[in-house]
Amino acid sequence: MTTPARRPPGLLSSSLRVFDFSLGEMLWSRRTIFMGLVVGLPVLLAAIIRLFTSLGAPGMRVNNIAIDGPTMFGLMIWAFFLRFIVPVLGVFYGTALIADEVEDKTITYLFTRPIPRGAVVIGKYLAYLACTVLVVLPSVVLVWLLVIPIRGTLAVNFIDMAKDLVLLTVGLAIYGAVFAFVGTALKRPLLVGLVFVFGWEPTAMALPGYLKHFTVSYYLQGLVPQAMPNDSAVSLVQSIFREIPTLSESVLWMAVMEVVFLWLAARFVARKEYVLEQ
Amino acid sequence: MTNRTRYFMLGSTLIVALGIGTGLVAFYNGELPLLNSRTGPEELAYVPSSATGLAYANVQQIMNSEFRQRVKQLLPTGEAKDELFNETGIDIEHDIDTVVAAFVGAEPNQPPGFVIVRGRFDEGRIETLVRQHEGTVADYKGHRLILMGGGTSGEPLHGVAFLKTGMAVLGTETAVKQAIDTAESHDDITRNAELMKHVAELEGNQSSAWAVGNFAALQTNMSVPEQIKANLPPMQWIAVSARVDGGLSGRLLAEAQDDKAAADLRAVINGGIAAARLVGGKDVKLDALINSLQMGGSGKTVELGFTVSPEMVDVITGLGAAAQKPAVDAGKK
Repeated sequence: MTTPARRPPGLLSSSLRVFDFSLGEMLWSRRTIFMGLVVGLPVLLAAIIRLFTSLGAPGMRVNNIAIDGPTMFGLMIWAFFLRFIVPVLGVFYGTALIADEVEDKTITYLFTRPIPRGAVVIGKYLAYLACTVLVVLPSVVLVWLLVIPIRGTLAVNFIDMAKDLVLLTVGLAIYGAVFAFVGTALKRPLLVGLVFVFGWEPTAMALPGYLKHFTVSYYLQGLVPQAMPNDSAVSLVQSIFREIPTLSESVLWMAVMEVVFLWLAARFVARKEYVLEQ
Repeated sequence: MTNRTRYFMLGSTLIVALGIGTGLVAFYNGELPLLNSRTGPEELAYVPSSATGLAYANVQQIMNSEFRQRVKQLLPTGEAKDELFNETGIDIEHDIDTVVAAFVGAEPNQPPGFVIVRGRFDEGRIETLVRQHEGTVADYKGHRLILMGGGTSGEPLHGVAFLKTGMAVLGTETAVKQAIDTAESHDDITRNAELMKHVAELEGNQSSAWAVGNFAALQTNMSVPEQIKANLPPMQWIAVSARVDGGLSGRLLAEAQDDKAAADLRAVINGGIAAARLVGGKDVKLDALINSLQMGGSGKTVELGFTVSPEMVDVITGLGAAAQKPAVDAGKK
């Protein structure tokens, strides 16, 4: 009597298995300390502002006009989260999904498992998304609770905060997918990622024409409920040439980017021959 | 997945759930007072969300200011003030802390508004005084409502109610009742996001007194002659604030309906300033006063700021005292 051969697990169950062990690994890595510091800064700043306001200190003023809590929150969403934290986390984590395993020479252990190779990328990507969302969203919520009550009302600003949470999650998902692909397909992915985030995106956004369509921020920033601040010369130029895509256009293109880049990353890993340097 | 990871996920999810839950409760049930460092004075809890205008004055700050001491000699002593003190025991200079006025007359048949005064009052003495003048005292939702006037003349009854110790609302009977109802229903002005945006800004400027109103609504309700109404620029909001310390500084902010209306208004004001310079001629003091005016604003906003420095106050009071002196001398003769 012969025992039937066990069927190898499917893509989804394999991805979830990879997600399960990758999440803990990712969450308790040195990279998370960096992430904690990055997302902790706005919370610390919000707590200091709130403390000083509670002690009766005069509020922040720009051009002799007092800045209230909702305006401050909007500025923090733009300056800290959308323009810095989300893309940077996408670059650092996304490019490292496979690159770390290659660097540590542990990729072969993953590939010897009876799971589709693409599941490694997808599982690790899901772990990245859970890890970053679990750290970034509480930070946004804490900033909101601390800052909004400064001459603002939670009731009036709740919808905007809910939109911000969704947008930041979407942003982390898309940047993560883009850089997961970059990490699997290119050499020096971190450098390429940083150039994309801090070089290509701001430049394309500041130029008139269609170039901004080849950025993530064009689709993401168009949906932010808070007004874009003119806090630097680049911002000012960006605001001049700013086109805002429609909601359906943004959703469509972001969905396309998410699916295409994640699929490309999985395909690259499945087909690529990894030669580990001794 | 390790327990450590599970606890982290749980903690993180709890923080987000707490924020969203708090926001949802605030969104559906109004503000959460414990979490909210309230915008505007506490009295706003009595102002209905439909109010189209608000004014606030920190009477104590103004009374105790150096500016007021400087201009005191120019102010009339006021017999009415003494009469009020003798009858009610209220000394305006020392017993009134703040005043909030609300304009709620969105419809012609609605009461125009009410005033909420915070300070130290002898409630018993005021009640006795009203009774002596054929007033009545009733109970309205747990508040003593003191009513007077009205009767056969068809005029509305005027009333005072003590909302809490040291806080009284004055207005027509309907307006006073409306203030009490508002506090009970929590449908107060803090829910009016547009107006509160202006209040927050005015408060942030550390103003001693401010006023803000929906210009269109105020124009509709106030008895402004049609000829003037027709020539008024199309504005949406108008706000004015003043800070009183050693000197006096203030800011008038108008939000026009569109950029063109704002540009027109700025041109009119600039023209007015230029005309004032011409009329002022070589008067250095007046010239300094006009120079303190600062036009600003962009887009739909028009801003006019002014500053009267303590030195300028001395000059003005000096002028005032000089003008008063001949009159006093003439009286002596």
